[in-house]
Amino acid sequence: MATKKHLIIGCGTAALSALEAIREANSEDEVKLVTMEDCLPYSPASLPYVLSGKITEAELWMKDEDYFKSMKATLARGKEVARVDAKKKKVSYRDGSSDSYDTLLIASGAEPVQPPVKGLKESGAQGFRTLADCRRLMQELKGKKSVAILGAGNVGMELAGALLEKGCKVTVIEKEQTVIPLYYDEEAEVYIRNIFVDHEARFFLGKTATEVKKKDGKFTVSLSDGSSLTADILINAAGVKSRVAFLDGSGVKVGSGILVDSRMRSSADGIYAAGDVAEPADFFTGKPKVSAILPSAVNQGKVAGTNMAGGKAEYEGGIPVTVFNFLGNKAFSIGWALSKDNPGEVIKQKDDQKRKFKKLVLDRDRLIGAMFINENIEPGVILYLIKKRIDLSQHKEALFERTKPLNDPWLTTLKFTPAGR
Amino acid sequence: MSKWGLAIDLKRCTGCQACAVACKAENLTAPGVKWARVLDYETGTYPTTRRQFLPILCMHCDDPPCVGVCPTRAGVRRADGVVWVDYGKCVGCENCRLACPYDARHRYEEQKPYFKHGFIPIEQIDVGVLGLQKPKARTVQKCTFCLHRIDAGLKHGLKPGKDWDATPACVNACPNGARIFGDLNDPNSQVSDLIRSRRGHQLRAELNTRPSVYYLPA
Repeated sequence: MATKKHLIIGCGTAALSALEAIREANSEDEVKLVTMEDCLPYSPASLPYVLSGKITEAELWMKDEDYFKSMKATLARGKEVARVDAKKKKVSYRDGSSDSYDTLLIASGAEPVQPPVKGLKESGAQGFRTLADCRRLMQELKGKKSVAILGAGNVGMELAGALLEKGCKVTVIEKEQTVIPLYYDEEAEVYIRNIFVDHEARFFLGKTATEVKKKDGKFTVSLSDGSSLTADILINAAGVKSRVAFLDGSGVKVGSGILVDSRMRSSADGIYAAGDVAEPADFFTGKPKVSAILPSAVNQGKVAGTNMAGGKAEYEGGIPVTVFNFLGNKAFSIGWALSKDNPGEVIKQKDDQKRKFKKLVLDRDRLIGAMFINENIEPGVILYLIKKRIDLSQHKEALFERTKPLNDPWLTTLKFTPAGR
Repeated sequence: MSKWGLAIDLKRCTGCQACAVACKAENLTAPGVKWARVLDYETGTYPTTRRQFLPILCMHCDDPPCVGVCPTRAGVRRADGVVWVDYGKCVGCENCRLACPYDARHRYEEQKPYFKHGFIPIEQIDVGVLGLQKPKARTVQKCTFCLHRIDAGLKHGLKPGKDWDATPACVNACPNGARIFGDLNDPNSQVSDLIRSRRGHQLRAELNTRPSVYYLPA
């Protein structure tokens, strides 16, 4: 049987997951991965920990050269895609070379959004998405004390935590009224924010930056309410968007990301997409939604790779999840947990003194969302209760009151199936 | 190539928690961290209720959901089936805890002293001589199938599951012989034989993680 040639744009979590799925299918097909950066694979999610010194750069790499050899795949580093010709099944790179393919997986990830702030680009403010960004920030931090961060999302707040631990003065500017607005609602986020404020972080919420100026080595940021602030370093963490510019003119349908069906197939024949670049159906609504988080990248990559190798796999849909460990505290948001846009039955409890918060959201006795701050829970069990739509009508109170034995109803309902190895 | 597996005999388990304690003693886990534990719950409805003990540990899955989701790939599945975490690479992001349906991944904050005097943090103790990895604060750990005992035992020509020094501590500790460890790739090993004859099953098998831990029905 003729072997296929699979080309993968990107070598991050989704790409590696796809490679593993292709080889798991015992496929002898040729696999080539192409990455824009000239370095080994790493995840942007690890960068705040390189910044804080929790891991060294050597510990950052997800895979080494030997891995690709053992997987009989090639990794081409430092090659940026310029164009994709979906009809000719050819990818052209900026350096003039090109590759043909039988199937193409686009796992090019996401890039920082440049908010429309006058003077931002010229000021030399940096992002925090790539290793180069991280190295630059670590260099800039030497001898400098104050940092302003545009955006209080996951990245902005992780950065804020890491920088506070390094002894910097941190100011965060966010256009919504709450921190990490995509995952935590008002009652919960106030605990998170107050813990940061206790560590002397400053927040400007519900305000946008209107102009940035750089003078004498300091950044001055003007805000929409007329006030302004200065800082030694300015970081743009306003958000990310799927990296799809190279698809202009290719005919591949793009929304916020590359639109894909449940088998991770794009609108073009032989082209798949997975990870931060893809826009599959959301688990809850069935509508297209980018899910730029690690668990989604792994699952999407696996589905894409299985299908590319000739198998049949379906993606269950993106489920938002986030874990946030900060300043000795922890917060989880799993599933459809925000109050403002879901129909479910809510059970919640909070403790202002201890800054503990727990909330379960159920729809017809099935768990759809959970939000916890400083509570001991089993996040994996909760996620599977949501995914498998387990009927919890008998267990609602037990789940909520005794969150530690949460796994009782789950793990303990054994099905006695014979070993079928 | 051996593939290590564990059979847990639910008929024999009495919920004594010796396995949980032995694991802590062997692996020097922090207070509150239990790599092996025994769930104790009631099942059925009156009048046919029963008390059931369910020993839980890392399932060392063939398709571990915890490995792919790690941003530094700190977790590795060895060829012999053991899933192992390099603490140096762990950043404590807890994506693995989100991915594991068996609650087998445990957060380790840092050790705090119980008593006023004489506290030596474990980070200062050379646990390497015991074959253990030095724990790192604010990371995630899990059961290792006592691979330090397996590997050292194999070097000395011992047989894991049969010889004490090559066998996981929890297996050795069980007073009722409810834990049977051995090579799943050897059809004649005791563990393979028991899984076949007693119709051993995996926990939540429909998730297709393909655990290496099997339960023999009560």
